[in-house]
This record gives sequence, C-alpha cells and structure tokens, in this order.
Amino acid sequence: MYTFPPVPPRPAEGMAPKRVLIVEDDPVSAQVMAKRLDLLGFLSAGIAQDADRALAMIQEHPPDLVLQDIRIPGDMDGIDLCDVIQRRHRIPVILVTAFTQEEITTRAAAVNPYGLLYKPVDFSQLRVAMETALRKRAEEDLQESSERFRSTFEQAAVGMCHVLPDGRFLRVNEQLCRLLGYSRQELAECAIRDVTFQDDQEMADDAMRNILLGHTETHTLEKRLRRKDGTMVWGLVTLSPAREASGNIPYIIVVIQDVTHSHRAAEELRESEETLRKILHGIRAAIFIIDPATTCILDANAIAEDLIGLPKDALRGASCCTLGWQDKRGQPMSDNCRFSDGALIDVEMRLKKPDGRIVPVIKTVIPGMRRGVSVYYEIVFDITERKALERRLSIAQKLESVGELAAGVAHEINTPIQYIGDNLHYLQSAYADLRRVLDAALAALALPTVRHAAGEALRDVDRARTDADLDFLTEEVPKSLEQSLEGVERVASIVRAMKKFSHPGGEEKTAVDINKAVENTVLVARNEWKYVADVDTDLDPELPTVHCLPGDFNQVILNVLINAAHAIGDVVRDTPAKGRITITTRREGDMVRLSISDTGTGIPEGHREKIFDPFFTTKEVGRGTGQGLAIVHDIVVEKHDGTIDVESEVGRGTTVHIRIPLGGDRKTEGQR
Amino acid sequence: MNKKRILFVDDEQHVLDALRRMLHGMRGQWEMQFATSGNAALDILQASPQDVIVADMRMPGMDGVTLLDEVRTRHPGVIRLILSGHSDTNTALKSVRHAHQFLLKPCKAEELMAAIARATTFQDIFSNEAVRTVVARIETLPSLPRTYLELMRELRREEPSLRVIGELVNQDVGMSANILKLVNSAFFGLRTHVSSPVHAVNLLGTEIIKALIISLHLFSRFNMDRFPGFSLELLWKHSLTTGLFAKTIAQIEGRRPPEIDDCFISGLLHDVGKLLLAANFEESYQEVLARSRAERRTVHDMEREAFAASHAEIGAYLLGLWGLPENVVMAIFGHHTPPSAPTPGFSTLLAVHAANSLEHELVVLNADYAPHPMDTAFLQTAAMDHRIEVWRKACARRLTEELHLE
Repeated sequence: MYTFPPVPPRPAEGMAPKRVLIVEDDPVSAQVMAKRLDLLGFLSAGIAQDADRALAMIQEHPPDLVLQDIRIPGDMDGIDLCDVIQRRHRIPVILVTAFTQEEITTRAAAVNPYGLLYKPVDFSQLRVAMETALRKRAEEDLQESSERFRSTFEQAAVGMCHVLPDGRFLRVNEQLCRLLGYSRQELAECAIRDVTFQDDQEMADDAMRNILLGHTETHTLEKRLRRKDGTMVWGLVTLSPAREASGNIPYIIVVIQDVTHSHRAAEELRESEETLRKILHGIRAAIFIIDPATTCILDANAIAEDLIGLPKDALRGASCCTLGWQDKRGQPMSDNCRFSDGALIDVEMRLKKPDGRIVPVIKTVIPGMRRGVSVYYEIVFDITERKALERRLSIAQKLESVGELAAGVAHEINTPIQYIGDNLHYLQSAYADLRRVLDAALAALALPTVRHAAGEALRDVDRARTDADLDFLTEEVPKSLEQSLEGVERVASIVRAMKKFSHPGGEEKTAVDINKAVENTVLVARNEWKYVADVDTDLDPELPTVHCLPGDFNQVILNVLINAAHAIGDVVRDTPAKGRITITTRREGDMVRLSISDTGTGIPEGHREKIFDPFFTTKEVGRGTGQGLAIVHDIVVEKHDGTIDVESEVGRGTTVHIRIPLGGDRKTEGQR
Repeated sequence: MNKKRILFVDDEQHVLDALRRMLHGMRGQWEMQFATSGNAALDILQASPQDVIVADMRMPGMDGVTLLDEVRTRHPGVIRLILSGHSDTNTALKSVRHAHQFLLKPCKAEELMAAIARATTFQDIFSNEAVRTVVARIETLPSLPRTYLELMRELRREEPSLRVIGELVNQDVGMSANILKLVNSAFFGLRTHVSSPVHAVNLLGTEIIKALIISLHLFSRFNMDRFPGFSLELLWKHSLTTGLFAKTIAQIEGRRPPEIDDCFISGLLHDVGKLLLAANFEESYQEVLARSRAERRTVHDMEREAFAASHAEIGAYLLGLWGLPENVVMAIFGHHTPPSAPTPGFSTLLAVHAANSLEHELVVLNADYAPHPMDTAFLQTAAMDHRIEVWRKACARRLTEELHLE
C-alpha cells in the first residue's frame, strides 16, 4: 500500500504577513493587542467589539487567525463564538481570558481553540501561541489537501498513475488497475513499457523523454495498451511532470483515458466504408453522381465506366440523359431520369451502350448530400445474367408445360389412331376376302351354263357392276385403304416426334441420338419450313450418342432451323421459289458437329458480332423476340462446353456449325 | 398345338372392336376374349384359363398396373402385356415389374401379333406346368450380392458415374437381363433392339436408373443362405467368360457392333435358366446338381429329367417373355443342342455354342464335370468348323488377358 507524503508547500506560500482579527470589547486592550501584533509582524484585520461584528468582518474578508476575548457583550458569549468561527469558517481562534475559573476554562477547552491565553497576556507567550496556531492550521490544511488529492486520485474516472523517470509505476489508481486488468501489486512490479503495445513503444518513450528533458509541460498521445489478458485498449494518455521546488522531476503524472470505444467507432466507420466499397464492387453496381439541376454527371465509379464503356473523364460533365436509356421494351425514354419526382426505385430499363450493344439494367435513383451539396445517386445494376437465368427458367417452364400437354394430347390421339389403324387394317383384309368371294362369284357367273340359268338376274348383276364401276373400285379401294394407313402412320409418327421433342425427360444429361433428335425436330417444325424450303438431311450413320440435355438440344436445333426458315422466307417471299435447308451431322474426334445451312439472306457483316446478344433482332415486331440465338448460345456454350461458328454471305445464305463434345464419362474418366 | 387364349382389356370399346376385327384372321390360332374393365377381365380369367393378357394402362376403376399385379398373384402363368397410349414415365416405370412387355399405342397390327407370338413361342415346350408358372411369375432376376452392393454404393454417391454403373451391370447376369427387358420395351420408343447393358444404362440416364433400383427395387440380391450348395460366383464367372468368348468370336469373324453386342449378351445370359431354377427350386435343383456330379452326366440332361425342361429352354422362355431380341433368345434356347439344320454361316447361336464349349474346355474347374463337346456336325452344316482353331486360340489369349487384369 502506498502512503501519501504531504505535498510540499509551494515556495510562495507563508511569505505574505498573516491577517489577524481581534475581538475585544475593551478598546484599550484591543489597541494594545493590535500594537503587539504589529510588532510581531502580523497584519491587523480589524477589531470587533462583539460577536455580530466579528462574524460580519469574517464574512467580508476572512482573516488567517482570530484573537478573541472570552468575555464579550451580546447574546453570544466568547466560547460559542469561537466554536462558530472555528467550525463554520475554519479559521483558527486563540482565546484570551481573565477568568481562571475551572468551569470556564473547561468549557473553553471543549471547543478546541488553537490557543488559550490568560490575561495579562505575555508578549512572548502570545507569539508562541500565534505561531503554533498558524502552524497547526497549516499542517491541517496540508493534511486536508493530501486527503483531497488521494480521494481525487483514487476516485477519478480515468486511469492515473505516477511513473518514475525510469518508467516504473510509483503509484496507480484503482481505475488504471481496472483498465489494464492488473492488481496493484502486479503493477507495482511493472514499468509503463510493459503495458504499452509493441508498435506504440517508441512513440511512448519519446513522450516520456520530452517531459523529463523539460521540453514540454504536458504531452498528450493516443497509444495502445496491452491488458493482462492480452487484449488491447486504446488510451488517450496525458503526461505531465511533478516538479519539486528545485525543478527536479521525481515522477511523471500520467492520466490515461480509455478511448477504445471511440477508437472502435472510428475503426468501424472505416471498416463499414471498406465493406460498402467492397459490396458495391462485388455486386457490381455502377454508380453515377448527378447534379440535379443540370443532370450532369459529377462523378462515376469504375463499374460505371465498364458499364458504359467510356472513361470517367468522358462521363464527367455529360448529361446522364444522353446515356441511351430505354424502357424495358426497348423504346427510348423521354423522361429518362425522372428527376422531377426524385427517387426511382428498382426500375427495369435497358441501356444502349455507345457501341450499340443493349444491356438490361435495373436503376435506382436516390437523393442525397455530397460535400454539402445535394446530389442524386444513380445506382445501376447490369442484370444480363439475371435475364439469362429468367429466360432459361421460362424456357424450362414452357417446355415442361408443353411436354405435359403433349403427353396428354398424344394419349388422346393415340387411342383413336390405334383403332382407326386396326379398322383400316381389317378393312384391307376384309376387302381382299370380299374380292375373293366376288371374283369367285363373277367367275362362276361367267360360265355359259350359269349365265343361261341366271337370265334376268344376270342383267341386274351387270347393271350393278356398271353402276358401281367395279374396275374403279378394284383399282381404288385398296389404294384408298393403303393411303389411309399411310396417313395414320404419319399422324402416329408426328405424335411420336412431338412427344419425343417436348418430353425428353428431365434436367439430366443422357445419351442422345442426335440424328434422331434432328429427324424429330424437322418433323415437328415442318409447318415452319415447308412453304419456303425443302429440308435435306445428311446424317452420319455412325454418329455415336452424345451426352447432353435432350430437351435443350432439341431447342437448339429448332431455333436454328426456324431462323434458317425465316432467312429463306425473306428471300423467296411472294415468289413460287423454294430455298433449301441442309442439316449435316458428323463426328469430329471427340466432338459432334451439327451444321445447318440455308439459302437465305445471309447476315450482314455488322450484325455478325451481335447475333448472339439477347434482344438483338432484325425481324419485324411479332416475328421474333431476339432471344432465339441467345438461347442457342447459352445451351451450346454454357451448358455443353460446345462452340458455335457462323459462316455467312449476304445473298448466299448462312451456315451455323454447332460442335459439342461427346461428353459423358469420356470427360470424367480422368477425374476418377 | 392348342389355340392360344388371349384376353384384351381396354376401357375404349372402339379399340376392342377394332382389335377383334383386325385379329379376326388369327382366329385359327388364337381364341380371343375382350373385356372393358379390370374387373371384367378378372372374371373372365376366373371362368376360363388364359395364356396371354393384353391390358391398357389407364382405365377407370382398376388401372392396368393393378390389374396385372392381381393377375400375377391369382394366375401367375398368364403372360402379361401392356398396350398403352400413355407415356408418363412414372406410371410406365411402375409397370416394369408387373408386365412382361410394354407396347405403345398406336401399335401396328404386325408388331402386336409379333409380340404376342414371340411371348408364346416357347410356352408349349413345357409339359411341366409348375416350371412354366414359375417363369411367368418372375418379376426380376437376382444379382450377385457383391455387385449389387457396389452398385448401391455408386448410386448413393453425389454424382454417380454412368460408366461405373454400366460396367457393373454389364458383369451381372441378373442386372443385365433386367435392364435389357426395360430398355427394349416400347415405352422408350427405341426402334432398334439394344443388347448392350452399357448402352442401355447410358440411354436410361442416372435418374431413371436410380428410380428403378432404389425406389422400384428392380434389382435384388441373390439369397446365398437359402441355397448353400450353389456357387453363384462360379456361375457368374462362367457366364461372363462365355460372354467374352462369344464377343471375341464375333469380333474375329468381323461382325458389326450390334451383332457383337448380341453375342456378348447371349453368352452372358445363356445360363440364366440355371439362376432361375436355383432361385426358385432350391431343393430339387440342388439334387440335380449333386446327381450330375455323382453320375458324371451333364446338368442339362439331369434338368430335363427333373423339370421336363432344361435351363436353356427355361432361360429362353423368360427372355422371350421379356422381349429380348429373337436371335438372342434363339441362341440361348439352342446353346446346348443346336438345331440340326441351321442357317449357313455365322449366327449368334453359333458363337454362343462355341463360346460355351470353349469356356468349359479352357477353364477347368472340376475334372469330374461332364465335358461339353462342341457340336461339330452343327458347325460343319454352318460351314464354320474350319474356324474353331482360330477361335480357341483367340479365346485362350483373351482368357490370359483377363486373368492378368485381375
């Protein structure tokens, strides 16, 4: 435990003469006393004749000492007055009395005067008593101040310590112990270096040195302190020297305030800014800062530069309205920024980039302040991927519902086809049987004897035969049945193809016979091409099965086939001519190539780059969504690791080569 | 030959009428009845025995699957076919166990007649009613437990490999037969016959394979405990080697891939009748095997004595019922006793017959077993006898390769 040594009096103190108030009703005695005090080097603070006067004078200008007669006039006697002065005003009182009665001296002693003198007062006695009283008072003051210091030190809400020049702790307060997590004993054996965070050591040492060398009277720094449990606290540390009269510095007074909280707040602010920055970068939000008055772009981030495809310098100063916004149907927007009503939340739009490409976006505009100026923050997300996903999903859903429908319709159609076919088959054989009977009968009728016997009846037979045109029946009935059977078979094959096309089974890659997929698709899409083109297929009979998503692959063939038919349609429109679509399959090493050629319009040079972009279409409204080839690209390249090559010549036609790996375990073999 | 009794069930009267008319020409060979509901069909079956039932799948009241299941329980000997216009995968898969064959509407007259004819081809060779009934009742063939476990392990992986599944199935007599039955049913609409189990697995895809094996229990384990005297492992080894030999012979003869597949599968499945007998007539078959060893006579002859049919005929009957390709069925049917007047030149039967003999010759398990000499007269008639030496050498080489691999 530390003991508190009295704080040494300041050198200036005690130099000024002490002021003494005399309380004496006898003016002569009072004058004598004042004269004596003067001789002793004291300053008279005046003379009061009674208690009231004395208290009034003390109130007005408190003296350092009161020299008071016990016997004074008035309601309050001298002993009571002494008690009041000493206790309430904390001024030492020396009582002077002519009484020697035991009773009075006992009463007087009870109020603890700083001195008790008997009249007539001896000069030297007076001096001793006064000096003693004053010294005692001074000691008491010292004691009090020391107490006050101790309690301030101990109860301070901040960590405080006295640190010796060598850095060891001289004394520490409770708060510091709590702050650092050590006990007093533990700290007593420590130096301030021991609780200073490694990285801040040098800075802390410099501060100490500055104080000790007298370069500065106070030094404040922020440093990290290491607690006993190893955790870290930020301290706002103020150092000031404790100086002796000689100017010597026996120790340094250190006040440590825990600022971890505010430090953490600052750190958190930095972190949250960093997080925000990372998130914005991660979700790839393009951000434009717009001047609401002029609609000029004040600033833009890197992602905005990427999105627009222009550097920041080119963007700055431009009006954000000139960026090529379109609504989600592709119409240019007149009120594209809608600044008038301020906020704009998650509005789907398209952005036509300077290079002509169209990007689907979502835009949010929010008003805000930036460097004290009100601005609009325009946040733009490129949603190309989401759109692709939506597209994929909607195809899948469409395929699924079409598939269910087709399966149901197929069942409905198949049952009547079954009995139509069976009946036709039966009619065929029944007709053959009837023919046999008829032929036998006619042969019999041809016999002369029978002819003769038949007579009139024979004429009926001949008439009926002529009416019915038996030769025609003989010729046409078998043909009509045969053609009907052929028709039934064709219906059956279309239903089968439709079912195969639309219900190919699941989201799983399986072995698919590409040739059969081509045949089915050509059959299903017959209506799309038969008026404008003939379709030739040149299918590799040795083509192995390909590991792919059957439904998706059908979609690829269909989309390319329909595009080919449309391209030819543009050429042969209003003419009786027909174009030609050729579908070829070949194996090329570990790949299968599917080529679809048409004799259509061809793709102009400038469009070739864009044909796989979603929304790109040259077809009139209602004929195409511009999604067809984007879907093909998605399925072939993304889902099957394949490639698409387009050869095209304007006026001659286009060939689309699709290559996909055979896939399946040929690919995974290496991994096992 | 008795007339075949065939019962058609369809809720659409038009379909039945048309069938009746169309098949009128078959009245010399078939005796046909028609029912418009499952219950009516069961009544007819109760009143008069039938050989074949051809049922629609979706019918009000009792559907086709339920009906066939019921028929299987009450009249197990009846051959069960489905003729349906419906192609919902789940329902179709459910019918796999209950029906011998699955035909898709619209089905041409010839196809329907051929399917019924194929299924009934071998019916008459069984004078033993019990054997005939047992074969028709069979839903699935058991697998080698070891292979079965490996397959289950593969299927439970996050991404089962079709290649691994295909290879496992390809080694197992039971699994191969089960999967080929399914893949050759009209439900999958394949216009050509598939006889390679690996190809079949690839065509079906993981999802369907999983559904078949895990939910529908298409494969089962052979219960070794019930049949302690029978070495399934040896039978499997013999079957697989015969399959490999038949394939080797076909390759040497420069046959096309589908025919090579046919030879392999015929070799693999040629003894499927033994599996069937072992699994269904434990005691009598055990006795057959014991006696064949003791008396040094072929199992084949002993089977004929005990069951009035050999494993070759029984196996062929089952696979015929299941709609496997005709040349495969014929090869299995005749692998012990080839017909006296074969078609000249190469045939699946010839390859399997030769492969089986070579297997017995080259892999000697037990000197006590009766030899399986090659039918040289058969080979001579087919004008292939001069190739035997080449085959023997190639098969011996193949065998050493296989042994090295192990």
